[in-house]
Amino acid sequence: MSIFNAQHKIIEIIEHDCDLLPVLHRFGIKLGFGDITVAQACTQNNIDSGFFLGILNVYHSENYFPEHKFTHFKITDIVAYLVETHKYYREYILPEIERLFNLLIQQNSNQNEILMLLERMFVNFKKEYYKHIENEEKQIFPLILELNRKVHSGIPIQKNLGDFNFVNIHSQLDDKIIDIKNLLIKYLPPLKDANNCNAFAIAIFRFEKDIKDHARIEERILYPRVNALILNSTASNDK
Amino acid sequence: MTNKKVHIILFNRSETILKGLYSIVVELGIEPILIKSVEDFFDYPHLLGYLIIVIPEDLLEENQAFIENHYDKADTIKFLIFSNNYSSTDNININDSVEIIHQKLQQGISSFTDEEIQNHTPELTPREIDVLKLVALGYTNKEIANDLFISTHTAISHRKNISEKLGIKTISGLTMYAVIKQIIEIKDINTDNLK
Repeated sequence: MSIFNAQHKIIEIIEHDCDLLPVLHRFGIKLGFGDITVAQACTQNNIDSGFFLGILNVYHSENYFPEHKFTHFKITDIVAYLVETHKYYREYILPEIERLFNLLIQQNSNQNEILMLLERMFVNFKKEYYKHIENEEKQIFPLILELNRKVHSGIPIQKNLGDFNFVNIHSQLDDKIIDIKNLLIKYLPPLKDANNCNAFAIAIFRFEKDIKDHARIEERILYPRVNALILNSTASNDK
Repeated sequence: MTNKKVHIILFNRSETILKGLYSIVVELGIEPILIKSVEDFFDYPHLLGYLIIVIPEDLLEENQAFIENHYDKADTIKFLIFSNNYSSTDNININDSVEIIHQKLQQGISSFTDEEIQNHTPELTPREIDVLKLVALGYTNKEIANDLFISTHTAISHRKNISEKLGIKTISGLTMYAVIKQIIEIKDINTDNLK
């Protein structure tokens, strides 16, 4: 398993793991990057290279998660990254999964009843997921950014803002989409057009990997950082 | 094959040995985790499932307690001692052929699977099917317990086993499974519950 560093060329990283292309996009690194290294790409796009590499490596290897190296990440950077991943879900991957789903339903009228039920499950999941994203973008993230701004400008903040802890919501949401995938792959009688079924399954696998990564960043990096911010700031207010 | 994830961790001070072992393990279809010094374990927190750790004896003696504590959420940790000399017996030896190392690792992996098979049959039991049917009809754990004359605790434990065997966790997922396998009929379910 490779851990990428600042001297690696972006193209080497992508040849190694093409699933990282959407991650590059979230940092504003566009295709046509030639042979530049990570360090050069970060300078060009005004990106904190430590943060960029951390996100890239954690996305690439599922087990790699050196929390102790992430404590210096800027809260504004983390939130900006999370908002970009939301955009990817909303504008690309979820509509894509839905499109492939509709194709399966059209092609398999003989199994329509079960597929329609499965689709209902997906539509409900999607609705709930959008609601979750919207809540984060409209309520939680602005609150975090405001808090961060106040602390950095030395403005006192209130105690008892509550713990930022959303572990359960994520895992329950993740379970739903994983169930849909497993039902299709393991239990549904074979459908027509295996290529479309595979495309559908692969799209869900990608999405699943992405939301797991997204949840880890929120739960293990962002929320502990915010809690530490509140704790430190209220402690210094008390002095 | 087991439902739980198997991780192989290679711990060695020598980078050459690590790279050699890495290329051998990868052939088994498992991407091993490389650890060069004990601090590297902090880069890989929260591993679940089954762990095989290939480690020289002196490093094991020094670090066994730490490793077991670090991975206290893992189901089972199995240490395979790696040695650089001829004297060892049941461990992985630097002079072993690739095939032998594959065999030894496979043995380690199947020992986990055997453990699992002893605890569970892969198919749902008739009782689990009874429970699944009621879950799909929208019964709560308490209602299931009352209906089947079992304790709520037993009902919950059945549900947990069903989910583990099928790889399906949510109520709507279990309901869909029951429909696909014709354990219940579509007309019997409340489709509004498929959320």
